[in-house]
Amino acid sequence: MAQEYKLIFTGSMGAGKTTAIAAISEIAPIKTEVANTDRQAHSKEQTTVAMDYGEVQLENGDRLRLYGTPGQERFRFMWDILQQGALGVIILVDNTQSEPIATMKHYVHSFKKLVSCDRAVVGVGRMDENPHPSLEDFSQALEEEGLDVPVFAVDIRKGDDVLLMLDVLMNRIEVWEMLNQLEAQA
Amino acid sequence: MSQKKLHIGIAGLKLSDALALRSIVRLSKGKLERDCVFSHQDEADVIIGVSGDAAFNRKVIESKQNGRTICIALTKHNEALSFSGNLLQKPIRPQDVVNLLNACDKRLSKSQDAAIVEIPDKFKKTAVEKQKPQEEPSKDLKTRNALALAYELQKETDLKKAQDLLLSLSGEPQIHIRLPDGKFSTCNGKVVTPNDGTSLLESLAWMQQKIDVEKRAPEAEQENDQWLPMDCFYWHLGVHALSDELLPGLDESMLFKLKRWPDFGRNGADSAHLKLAAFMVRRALSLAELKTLTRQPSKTIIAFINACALCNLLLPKDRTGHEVALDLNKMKMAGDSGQGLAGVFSAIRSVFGMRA
Ligand SMILES: Nc1nc2c(ncn2[C@@H]2O[C@H](COP(=O)(O)OP(=O)(O)OP(=O)(O)O)[C@@H](O)[C@H]2O)c(=O)[nH]1
Ligand SMILES: [Mg+2]
Repeated sequence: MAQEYKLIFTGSMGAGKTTAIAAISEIAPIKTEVANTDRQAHSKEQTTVAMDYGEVQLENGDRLRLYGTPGQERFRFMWDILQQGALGVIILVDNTQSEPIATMKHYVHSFKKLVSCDRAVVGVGRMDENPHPSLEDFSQALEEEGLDVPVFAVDIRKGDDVLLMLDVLMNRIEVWEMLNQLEAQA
Repeated sequence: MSQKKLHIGIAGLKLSDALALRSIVRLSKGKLERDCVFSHQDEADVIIGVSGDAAFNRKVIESKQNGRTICIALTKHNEALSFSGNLLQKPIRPQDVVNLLNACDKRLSKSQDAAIVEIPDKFKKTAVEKQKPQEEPSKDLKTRNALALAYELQKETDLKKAQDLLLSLSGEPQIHIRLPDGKFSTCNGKVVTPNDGTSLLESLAWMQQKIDVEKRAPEAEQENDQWLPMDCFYWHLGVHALSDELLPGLDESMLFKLKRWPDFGRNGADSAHLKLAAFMVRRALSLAELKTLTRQPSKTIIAFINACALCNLLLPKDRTGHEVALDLNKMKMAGDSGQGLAGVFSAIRSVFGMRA
């Protein structure tokens, strides 16, 4: 029977969730953009209300559903529902916004369920514009909290970087399952 | 001869072009002489890419040596190109794709017998002249192969004082390194894009020639210079070096763990590297264990470990005897059972042209 799988893109306003989904979705992504009235949070023109949605039809009949969480905080209640049964979460951070490490931690904690079973990846964007904090700083901040999440410098406008994060996610899940079983047997 | 599928690999194409190509191939099934599938570059009979892309260029060189793959460059109308091989014009027209692939099929079926006898020997020749990072250990960096050079630069802290290095190959200056700032740039008069920089390193790593090193007093920076971090330099030299030896200080009896993931975002990722990193971040493993778990050749694993060591990402551990060994005989079972996701992952990889 055809199955459906969820992949979540999250991150602060303007981090690139809508752009990332548009880069790999097979259908024109369903966007719910409106003029951004919260210019304090981000200066961009438009922001997503409700949720981004895209999908990819797989050859075996399964479907990959792509969800982008809305950046505005008042939609937080959706996150818990969303992460149930999800394949994984891609957390996007914009390194030119203030406190990018704190922002990353906020999302990592919000998606703790997925993070704790190796189903999360962090992509830091615009590192060329602002190289600090460095990837090492991001990784270290996670390590200090005992969290193991890969962090990459990405340009989400390139589909390849979105696919990289998806690929890392799949590799981690495969390795997680394989090692868990082997370690349980040992 | 035609029952085997024709494997198409893509290199450096924009996702939209890759997707267009994929749907054209899917829809043209009835017109193609041979069934076509999309595969990883290393398994492909035909590579479609953009001239100038590092991976594509490498495939072009390889195909000239081995005659087993055909490279096709995707070009915009009227684009001036240095590429002299097969071209596919943009916008991609289904009939062009069908004609090209059918022509490739014909050519490959013809050349198959001859190719199989000749090639392996040629390959061996380059592989045998392997690089030895340990050669001529001396502080005077004059000529080194790429991996040995990277190793010594990474080790020698007193070299990192105010000093620039100019690396050249056959007399032509190629790379300018500013050691104190930890960055490098190409220096044959062109502006560097990260792509230029990394494809140059990739070629340096894989050509067997020695690199000349000249020390310089630091020069004033040119306005147009673009610099890349030294980690990028170390990564590409490590991972592409044709070496089958671990760097000095590492040996096969050790266990290897990673501090964190290499930056595949900036440095690019290979499916083998993703898998290796996923294992080594989770657990300290030996070469033999990594080989069984990832099903990768030693050479790939060693190059990966060397690159991680050069980028300071490696935590080598002497075996203490406390580790609980994994029973790798059970691996097959572990891989097969409970993995409801194996099917969907392979479907996802296939849609996006990723390699498992
Ligand atoms: N220069 C640069 N621009 C980037 C990079 N990554 C993303 N962008 C741009 O940043 C913007 C991101 O906007 P969106 O995709 O709408 O962000 P979002 O996460 O959906 O934002 P909300 O819906 O408001 O929560 C786009 O205009 C991208 O083109 C990068 O690495 N460099
Ligand atoms: Mg959005």
